[in-house]
Amino acid sequence: MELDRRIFLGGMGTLLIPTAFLPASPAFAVELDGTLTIGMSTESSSMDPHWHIQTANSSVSQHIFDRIVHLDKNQIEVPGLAESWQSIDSNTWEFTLRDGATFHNGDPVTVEDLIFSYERASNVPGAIFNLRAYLGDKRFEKVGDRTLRVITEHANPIVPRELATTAIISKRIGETALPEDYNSGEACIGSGPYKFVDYVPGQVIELERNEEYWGELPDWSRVVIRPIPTGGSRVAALQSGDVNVIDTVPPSDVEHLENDSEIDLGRGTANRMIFLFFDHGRDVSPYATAKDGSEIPNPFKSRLVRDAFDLAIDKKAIAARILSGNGAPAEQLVPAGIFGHNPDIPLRNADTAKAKAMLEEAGYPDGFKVTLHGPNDRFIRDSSVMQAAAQMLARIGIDIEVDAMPANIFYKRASSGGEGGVPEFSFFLVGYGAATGEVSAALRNLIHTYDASTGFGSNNRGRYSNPEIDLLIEEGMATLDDVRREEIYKTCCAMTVEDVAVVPLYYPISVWGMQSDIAFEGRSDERTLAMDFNAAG
Amino acid sequence: MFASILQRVGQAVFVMFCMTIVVFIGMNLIGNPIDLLISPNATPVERQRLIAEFGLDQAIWVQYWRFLVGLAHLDLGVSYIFNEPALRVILQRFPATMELALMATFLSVLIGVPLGLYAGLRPYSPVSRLIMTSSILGFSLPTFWVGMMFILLFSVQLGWLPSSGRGETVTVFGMQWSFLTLDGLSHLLLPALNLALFKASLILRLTRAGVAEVLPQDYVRLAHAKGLSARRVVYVHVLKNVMIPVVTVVGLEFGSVIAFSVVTETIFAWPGMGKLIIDSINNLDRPIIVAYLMIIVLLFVTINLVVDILYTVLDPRVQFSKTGKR
Repeated sequence: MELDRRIFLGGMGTLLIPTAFLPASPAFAVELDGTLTIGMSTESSSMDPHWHIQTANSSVSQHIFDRIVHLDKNQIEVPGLAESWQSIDSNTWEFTLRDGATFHNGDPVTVEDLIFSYERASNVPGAIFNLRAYLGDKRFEKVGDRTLRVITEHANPIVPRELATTAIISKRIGETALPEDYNSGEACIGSGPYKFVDYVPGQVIELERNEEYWGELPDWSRVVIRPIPTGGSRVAALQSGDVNVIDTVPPSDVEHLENDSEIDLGRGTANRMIFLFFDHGRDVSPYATAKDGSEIPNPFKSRLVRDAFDLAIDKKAIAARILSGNGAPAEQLVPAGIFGHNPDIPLRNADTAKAKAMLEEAGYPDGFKVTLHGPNDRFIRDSSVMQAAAQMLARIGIDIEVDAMPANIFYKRASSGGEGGVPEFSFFLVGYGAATGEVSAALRNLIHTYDASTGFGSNNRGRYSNPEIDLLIEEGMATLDDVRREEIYKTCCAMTVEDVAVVPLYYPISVWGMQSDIAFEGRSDERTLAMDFNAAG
Repeated sequence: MFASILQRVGQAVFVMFCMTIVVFIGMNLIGNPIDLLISPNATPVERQRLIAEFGLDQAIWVQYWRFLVGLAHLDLGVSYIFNEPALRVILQRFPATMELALMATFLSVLIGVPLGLYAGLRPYSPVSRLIMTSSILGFSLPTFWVGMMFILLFSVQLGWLPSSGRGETVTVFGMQWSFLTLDGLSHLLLPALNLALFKASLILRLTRAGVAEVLPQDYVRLAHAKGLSARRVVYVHVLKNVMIPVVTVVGLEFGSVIAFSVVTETIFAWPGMGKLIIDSINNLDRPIIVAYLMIIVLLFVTINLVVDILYTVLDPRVQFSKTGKR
């Protein structure tokens, strides 16, 4: 992002010269039932919908493939291929398929196709970011022509959400298809609102509307998706009318696009949180030392120290100044609107004096020394965010060094770089987001005590452990009653914040840019879908 | 000539071999793609299963041996990211890079040689001074900045050319080429010009220096004295002798455009190999990185060979066989 900003700032400076005497390029109006061209920041790595489930791939696959249940722009479940569903008992769910849904080749969508899709999605060789995490605990049974029964190992209230991750493919085609058949389009046959036309890796994806779609028909008869990785180029492509819509508008361009009457911006707070994690696990943490470098007991074991850190960091300033509005200050694990968000948790104002007093009370009147590690190419302006946080902590007397490194080095060290294969860092910046749109995934994977055998705490790189919260999380995960479950999760969130397990920094805000004659409401799952954009007027 | 080619091929194989070892050791030190790409909800058991599935839990020399065995079957492995054979992923992007490199080189020679010749023949004319001064801009302005300027001027402001991407393609020899269509050419022009700017300046300066060096030499004066037309002296006697360093540089630059035109490819969203290699390094996609570097080594060796052959055509005194060299 750093490079992008410089490119563009440099660019805009000189743009002033030609603007003075050149006519602006004509606007390209979009029309209903015409073509929508989308410029995306990340290229899709495969057309196989069960390959890596990254945002770019999921965005593309959702045009072509339906799910049993869909998640709307706020990640609320809405009917997909199933018109209704209910839990029969604590371990069993039943889904009733809609009539009239067909694949692009005319075959009707059947229960067998669903079962086949779930099986394949768990077993694509070489798929690293796969769907096992969502499908592993389930068995599927056909109980009628239109009825699918899902049996889970333990009570699982979020079966519909978990199944919403998995694209439904045709059994007849999928059984014999090779991985390359998806990229060639031969096997890329779903039941979604768009059909595959063409795919050239890194260059273009072309889709045409499925006129036989069971749901509401989208506004565009043809969709062209082009990867444009450089932020400045993406903005230029939008301004020149080469594309109608772009995702991930760079922070540095937000302001001048807001002043452009031909461009509108759309926003959505992502269900993802960027936060600072402490080493809770070890008695001596390698990167936390006395100021002279001598060994001290792990200071992050003290709640007061953690609280002082949280209080010292001005999240509002980071969101407003460093992220230029591309992030909303965070106070808990998930933003408002996500199931389990606790509205009673306040966003505290930073208070340096109070934080310093807390640090003194905790027995560190002179502070201590710690290194803040993090990636420098993963999140929006990640290294600047770390620098800012470090300066704020320096004000309460912490001697802090920032070590930002490429993500490909960072993640290995953060997960298993320490002695004996444990997480290496003492204090580090990471992010977490789950496709299921509930706080439970964050609680289960980040906050619950790490346990290799059950899979709890799989992303708990700080090795945070609080038996009380663990019990509540497990209770919530087995509670089918939505009202009761939400109460439990809200309590879990409150306890997590009270105990300062992590320092939440911000929720990224996805910013889309589009021509002003296109209407769009934003999404919370960072996906860019042609179906969400409408021709205005 | 044949022996010399054989020797080159031997060198290439040796370099490729060393390179694969370096890449294997290097990648092993950095990390693994599993930690980078795995679902944030995956269990530790699942992580172990994946690491085992990729054979990343094996000792590095076992992994390397497996790679060599695959290589013997002409199998460079399957990309971790694209789920396709590494070689195919690279070759898919090869035409895009190739046509960009050819176009850029063509433009740079087209601009650089005539201007350099003019500046060399009339060193004191104001036009020559202007050419020389502008050439400084050509190699001092950073590529990414010039690229953005091109886009802002020609696409956003004037609306003459598309801002990024690759245009319509036609299939020739089973590969997708865009330079054969008008739409494709219009997409190709800006990135090619952007890449050509630096090279044109370089060629221009080389040509001018060469001309200045050759002009006062005896054979040129003799040619004039023989009564040959000025045109023939310039185009045959002068230009041909000036071309040797130019050909070397064009060859090397051509190779580097193919291998490392990352910045331009990224800014113009050009789906070439340069962008692919950077993405692959970021994602630790080892099969792609290894295959790519092997291809590049082969490419450079080939280009150098072609350049050497061209030398002998341009200057019969140049010999590269063993007896001539030592």
